[in-house]
Amino acid sequence: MKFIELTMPLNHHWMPDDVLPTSVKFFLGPKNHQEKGMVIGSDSGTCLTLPSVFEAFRKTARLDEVPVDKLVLRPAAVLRIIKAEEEEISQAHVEKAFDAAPPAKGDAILIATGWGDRPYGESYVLGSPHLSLEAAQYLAKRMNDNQTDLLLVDTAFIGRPDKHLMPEWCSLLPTPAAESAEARMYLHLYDGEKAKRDFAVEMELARAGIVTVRKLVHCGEIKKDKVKIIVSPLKVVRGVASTCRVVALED
Amino acid sequence: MKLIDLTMPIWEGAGYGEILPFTNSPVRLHEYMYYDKHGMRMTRMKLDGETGSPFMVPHQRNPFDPTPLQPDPKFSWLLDEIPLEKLILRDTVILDVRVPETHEITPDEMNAAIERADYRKGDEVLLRTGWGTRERAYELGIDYYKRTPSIHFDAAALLAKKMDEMGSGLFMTDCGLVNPPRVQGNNWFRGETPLVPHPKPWPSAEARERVLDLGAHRHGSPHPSSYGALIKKAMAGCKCLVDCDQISKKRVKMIVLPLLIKKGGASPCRFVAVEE
Repeated sequence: MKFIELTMPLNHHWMPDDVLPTSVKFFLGPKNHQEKGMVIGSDSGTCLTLPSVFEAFRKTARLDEVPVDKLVLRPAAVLRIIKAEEEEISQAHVEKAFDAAPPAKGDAILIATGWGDRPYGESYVLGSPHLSLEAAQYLAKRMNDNQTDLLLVDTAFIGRPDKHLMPEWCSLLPTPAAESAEARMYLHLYDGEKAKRDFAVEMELARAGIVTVRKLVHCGEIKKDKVKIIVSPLKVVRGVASTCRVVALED
Repeated sequence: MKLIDLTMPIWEGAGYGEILPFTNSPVRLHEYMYYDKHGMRMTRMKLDGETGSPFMVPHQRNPFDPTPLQPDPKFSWLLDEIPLEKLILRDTVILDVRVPETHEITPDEMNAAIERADYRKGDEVLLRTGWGTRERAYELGIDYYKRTPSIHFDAAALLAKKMDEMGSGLFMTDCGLVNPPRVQGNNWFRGETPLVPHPKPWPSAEARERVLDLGAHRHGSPHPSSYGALIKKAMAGCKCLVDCDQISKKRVKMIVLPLLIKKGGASPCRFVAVEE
């Protein structure tokens, strides 16, 4: 059996994924530091997001309620949809990938675009490939038909928050840091209507009850179409999203 | 195949983050996006390497201090250096020591548990008292750590020697503390001059004063550290597992996944037992 690490390391020197005001800077405090310990965001590094992250689905399962067999040694089908920077994954791409490697009933779906195999750069988040809304709707239907509810991707986003979040934040020059005063002010003015438009793709999947895991790395090392995966988020009581470790097992 | 989650949950105010002055700091969860305003939730989590059920290597203070807890440890892998083969589906022996709360496991009890167990070469070790449960941790708060069973130094030294002989790497237990509370909490919540009322941990004024008195890494007890004896011979020490009585067999395979912290020395971890 071969084990493949699919987790983005949490590096206290630099993380590629804390560029937007919705993110938290990963921080490790030395023993004598006021903030001894570590600071992690809901979506630091490789991360799992439950549908309950959204208010509309807040009555669904939380991190401490997710059955362990949903996340551990779960069979998964690998769909290879190779994409370049900023490219969109369309419904046709998903359809073709599904038909090329049909998943068994209940298999989790792992979409490998190749984005997580590249060296991280400044464009890791803003240049990430992503699903179109139509692709997400189609994917949700295929996954529901297939009685599966776990989607893993090697991209920074599932959709692309380009209605408000990205253009508004990136228009501030020089771009402020996550957790800065500007970030707090931006979030103060950011509301549910804006979030609905920015995260429409994620909400579409959440509506179908799909748990998502993103920012996987090294998926290119998976050679087979079927693997088993282990996803281990932090077991936060009533939590809705968490950084996590992801490993693939190849027979 | 049966999967059993043995992981202590993480929540704000959890006892493990409130009981000790320095080694484990409080869990703080800060919401910065809200259901009612943003239609979604995002959380900034302040944790510690020893939050929940922790996984701690001998060089636990990395990446800032490479000094191991004990000199010349047998293993020196950091969190991001441990091969996955050493963490996933590991053959594990259950060492059963049924003891009441506050009891310090003696060498005789440890020896009897080892002799009763089906301990094979290369096995990882799960020392089970049956006392550690999620419900008890929720109910007792910091008292969970005052009342936990623990391991006397001589018993820990005996187990460390056995683990060395058997080629074991992982030490896991459902004790809340490995060191007896009288040692770990010496003159903090136990000992001749415990602080009353119980102070907040680091960075409280009391914790800072304790560091001035003792140095940052010392428990200040004249008695030796049981955990120190074990971690000298283990790849990692893991405590505070819960609900281990759900395991019905004498041996299991364990899946042990700490966070992948670059050059890190300690992390909250998930522990899942796999019973065939």
